[in-house]
Amino acid sequence: MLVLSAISIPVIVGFGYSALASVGVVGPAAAGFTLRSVINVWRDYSTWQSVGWTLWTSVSATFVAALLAIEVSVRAPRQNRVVSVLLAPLAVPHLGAALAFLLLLGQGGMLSRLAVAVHLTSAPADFPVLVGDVVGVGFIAAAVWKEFPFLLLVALSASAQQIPQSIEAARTLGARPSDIRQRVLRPQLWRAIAPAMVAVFAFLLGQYDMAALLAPTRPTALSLLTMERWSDADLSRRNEAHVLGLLALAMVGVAVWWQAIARRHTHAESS
Amino acid sequence: MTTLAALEVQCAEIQYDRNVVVHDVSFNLHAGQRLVIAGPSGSGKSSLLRAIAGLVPLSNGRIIMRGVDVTHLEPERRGAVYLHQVPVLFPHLDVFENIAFPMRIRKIATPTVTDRVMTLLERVRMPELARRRVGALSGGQRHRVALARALAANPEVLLLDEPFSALDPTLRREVRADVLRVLDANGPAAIFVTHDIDEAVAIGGRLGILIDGRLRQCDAAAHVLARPSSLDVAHLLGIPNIIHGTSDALGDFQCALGRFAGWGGAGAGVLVARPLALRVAEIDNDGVHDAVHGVVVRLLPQVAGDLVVVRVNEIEVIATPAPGMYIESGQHVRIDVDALSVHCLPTA
Amino acid sequence: MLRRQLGLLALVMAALAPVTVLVVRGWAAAWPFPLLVPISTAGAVLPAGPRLANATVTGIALALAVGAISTPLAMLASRALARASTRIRTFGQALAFLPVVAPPVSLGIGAALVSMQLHVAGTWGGVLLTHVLPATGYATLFLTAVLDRYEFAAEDAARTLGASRIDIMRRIAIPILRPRIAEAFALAALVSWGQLALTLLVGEGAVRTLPVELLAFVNSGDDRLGALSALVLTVPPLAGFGLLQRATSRVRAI
Repeated sequence: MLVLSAISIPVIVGFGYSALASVGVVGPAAAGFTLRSVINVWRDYSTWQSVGWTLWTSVSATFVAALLAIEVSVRAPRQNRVVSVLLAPLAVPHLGAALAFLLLLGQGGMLSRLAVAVHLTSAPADFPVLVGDVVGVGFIAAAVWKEFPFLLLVALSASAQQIPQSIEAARTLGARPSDIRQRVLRPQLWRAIAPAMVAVFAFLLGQYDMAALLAPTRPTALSLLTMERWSDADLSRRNEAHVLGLLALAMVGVAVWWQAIARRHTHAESS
Repeated sequence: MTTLAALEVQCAEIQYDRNVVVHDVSFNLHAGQRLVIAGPSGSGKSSLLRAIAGLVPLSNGRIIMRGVDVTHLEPERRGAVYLHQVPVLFPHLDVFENIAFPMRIRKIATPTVTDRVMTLLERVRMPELARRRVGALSGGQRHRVALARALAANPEVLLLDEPFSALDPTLRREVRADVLRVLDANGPAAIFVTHDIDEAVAIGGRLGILIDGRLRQCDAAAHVLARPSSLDVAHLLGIPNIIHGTSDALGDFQCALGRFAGWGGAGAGVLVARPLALRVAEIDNDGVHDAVHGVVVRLLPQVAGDLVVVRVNEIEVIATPAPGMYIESGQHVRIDVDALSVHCLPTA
Repeated sequence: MLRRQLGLLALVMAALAPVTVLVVRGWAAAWPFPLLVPISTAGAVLPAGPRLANATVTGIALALAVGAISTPLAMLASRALARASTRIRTFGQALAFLPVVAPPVSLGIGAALVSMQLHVAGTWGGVLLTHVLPATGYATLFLTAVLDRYEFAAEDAARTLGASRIDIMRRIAIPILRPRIAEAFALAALVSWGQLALTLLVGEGAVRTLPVELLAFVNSGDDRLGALSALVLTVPPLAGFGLLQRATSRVRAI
């Protein structure tokens, strides 16, 4: 417990400092207690744009990755070599994945070159903006590429452990393969990966590495907006960085709390 | 006109990785009949059951249901419902929907489904738990829901793999009684598999003894207990008194418990006798009985009634004391053998 | 069936395409638009330029140091948690989870403020101490899961035979858990190896690791060096992943 305190106390102290800095008590721009930074952040439209963009991309990427993971588990659970290849993105760091998708989806990237080759476009500017775009296509694609293997692992593990006997029971009750996929496999796999999905969602909420290369300027990811404020020449804006940092922490906290509920619910139902 | 058997197994053989685990097993079963297959762990019981369900293939032989060869048919089209040792319920469905599952996949209309599910819930005495999540059910309740769901599929044959072994003794008796009551009321044919002989006897019906993948005996339970077909079967049944002797040229069998006329055969053999066949009584001097005498070694307290270990000549037998008889170690006693309840087997 | 195979093929291609593009871009000295294939691959494939080499060395040194500090800390923490009551265990795991789950930027700006107060901002030491926070968290969670399956009864038996706590660590716990401890070390090192936000915020741009240089290369338009950085960044996790796959299949074979 001493060791864990030694690790977590600096973390808690760090957040404590952030909290104090956000109200002007500590930090380079400390000028005594004031809620000005908090009010500025609250009133700033770009704050809510960032929150919205971050939530949208995190939810979309999580959901798409989960959908793919479940479909692969349902339809191809035994193809070990294929699964090994599909798990390979786990080894690529998020920053590397972001650059890869920049090179793939950028207007000067691989897909754009292919589009020219098949005479769909003739110049980089003709290719749609898929990276740094408002919808977050590039970010979502990279996030799906990175998070799908983790969710696939969880789904395959559930398939191997819990589900084979359910399938046997369903077969001898007369269920055909399509019934089993629809009524037995998919519902159970969604339940099994729910806690992992929330973990992925929480992770993506705070993601910086991929956002640094793939997020647009406005709206931007919450992590980028925080960095922006932190690096602002106006030192007083640094306090706003702390407010935004704590806002991101609170969002992740809600997601983690939700995951704990989901996990407890899943354990209770399967025991 | 004879009705078609619900299930006919003909010369079934099952192999795993070139190891034959079930050899040449044949039997049949009609609707409403019960068969218990008992055998030690690893004897092939579960494999046989899973093969009937279609979950493992036969390497030889046939499986016929209502006259139709289903040997190569998928499990979902056979009509043989397999119940796992630990009930496998669908955790994402409540009790009602679990039971309704076989009817939903057969696209049966909702009013009919509702009626049938509630009827089955009444049969298993759980109508008030229709909307309960299955994660909240007790062990006994899970068994009953699994049974109701199996019956909802209208199977030709129910296959129950060690159905009660995961339950504690009290719950086991209660759930077993429930299951047998439900099956008795116009239920399908049912095959139980167990390694517990006492349970096999309690379930009743026909008893099949599977040892090393071979069906050594398959007959009414009472007959198997009274007349085990071999020494292996006698050992598996836990018959404690296996006494060596010989048959003479007249076919009379002689052993430490006396002479038994008219057994047939010649040469070395064994007498198998359940404790009930050997009655311990006080020694009397009226000469009416061809008395076998022995000395009490110890008492064996049992829930169902104490047994006595008696030394007779060079051997020890386990016998039942006469009602109300006082017994202590070292006491000289007489053993009355019920000749109709003992059985002779050749050793060769 | 054909649709399923085609779908899987599409997924496999989607899984490999980004890595392929990185490899090609790292290899290509000249790759003008709109060519599908580079026209020149002249130039070393190995990390080129002193910046890249320095960043690699800095990253390796940092990762090894973080692993060396975090692993024993995680070992102590997880052993204590493994034998604790459920409530303490849950609380302890939540503490370990905190630096893992906290958004890196949120964690980083708090840590940056603290490191300024402690006059270690912009130093290798400050970055090291900050990396230790999430690395120890990850390693603790990993070892706690490992110790769930560990037989503490063997240590209890050794104690009744007169073994001291140090004897038990030296002669029982560490020998038995050596492979898992090595994995925890690798995990902690990898957490540090891939860190970007914490390094930027606490290092203030003075501590140049591979992720920091990768970002700088891309922002300055040098895709090739960026791709090479990304590939070098991928080598240690890929090696670890391959070892893990082999270990898992060995276990499955048993």
